[in-house]
Amino acid sequence: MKKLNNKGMTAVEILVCFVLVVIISVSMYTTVSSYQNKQQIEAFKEKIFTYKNLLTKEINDDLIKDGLVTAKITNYLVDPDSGDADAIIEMNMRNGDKKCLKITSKKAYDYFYDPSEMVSTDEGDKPMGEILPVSEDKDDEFLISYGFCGNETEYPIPDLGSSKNPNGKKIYDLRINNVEVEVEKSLLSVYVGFYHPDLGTRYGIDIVCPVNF
Amino acid sequence: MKKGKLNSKGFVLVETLIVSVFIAAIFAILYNNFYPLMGEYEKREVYDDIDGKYATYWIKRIIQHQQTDLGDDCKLDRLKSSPYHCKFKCDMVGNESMREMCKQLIEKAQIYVKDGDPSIYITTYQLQYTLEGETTLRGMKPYFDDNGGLSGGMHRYLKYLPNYRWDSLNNAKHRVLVEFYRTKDDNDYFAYSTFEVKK
Repeated sequence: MKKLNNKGMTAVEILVCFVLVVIISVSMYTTVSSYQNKQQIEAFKEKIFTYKNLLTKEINDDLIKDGLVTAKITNYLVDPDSGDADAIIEMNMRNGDKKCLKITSKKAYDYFYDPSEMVSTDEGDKPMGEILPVSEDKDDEFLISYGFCGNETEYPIPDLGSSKNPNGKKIYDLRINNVEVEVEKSLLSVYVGFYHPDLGTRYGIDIVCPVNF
Repeated sequence: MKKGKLNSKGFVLVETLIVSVFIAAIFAILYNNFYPLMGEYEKREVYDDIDGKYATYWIKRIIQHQQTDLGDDCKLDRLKSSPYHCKFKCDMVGNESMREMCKQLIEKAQIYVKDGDPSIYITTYQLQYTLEGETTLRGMKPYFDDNGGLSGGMHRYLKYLPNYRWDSLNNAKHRVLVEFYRTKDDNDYFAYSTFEVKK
């Protein structure tokens, strides 16, 4: 009968193998978890891009194919303190269509809001909760709608997660950060900037179109 | 049955270690080669994005307009020889209100302006080509490979673009390349876009 090698491995060999496996696993873990994080951020980016591209194309296609004759800002309110914004732009096309773009941005007190924190005012120190009362706080609400005036299609911005502030109001991770609307003599420009904690303010909708060109 | 003594010693630890180190080295080389591609992908995010594309479309429309006189430097014959490009300025627009609109467009679309000149380049539709019977590479691409005068970002974008070897389906003979400098909302980055021009 053939003699088998039944010596097995020594304790040192097994130990060396274990140490190697542990080193490889630990180094792989940090790499894999960083890639998981990157993958999630890429997924957020993709959702923002899809939204931005869809809406930008929808509006620009009308502006190019139908031809913008006149544009008028019928409502444009920006609260410098809260950052809330409301804008309505009416666009008259060469073919007689009247299209409206509406942008609504209402923000809850942000992540850093602490009602008990003392804030210095002209009348002495006051808790932040008195300056920004709970009754005036509200859930985040962001909406862009576009289409024939009076029959606009709603384009709610993508939900990339949310949290709650100390007042229990909803704060979305992706928020409208900035709304700039301008109709100069011969140019319409609309900018809607987004903010996301992982992506900053890099992504936004930026539309420029000559009027009656 | 064949009776022979089998080699049943297996691998010794040193052999296993050598193979492991060899495999690890291969993975390290692969990683080093693939990692820069990820950076490249992030860079390309600013190439021909939707905002840039539509803004470039309006620039193209202004260039194509009958009231726009590009001047001798931008004539097709001139563009077919060194330096293979010319720069567009709103002053080339004849109509005053359109000229004003052009300036507003440059400002609002955040087109990069350096020393008063917007970064708008007009060149031939083909970015790199050879004449029949010649081997010399012609066009904006090889010109800027050998000469300076273009920002690093624009040069990389130019290298990234295809040569557009085949004629345009729309019979366009010119091309416009635009460099944007996005600063709205505390941003600070450059973006690039191109469009064919039928002048």
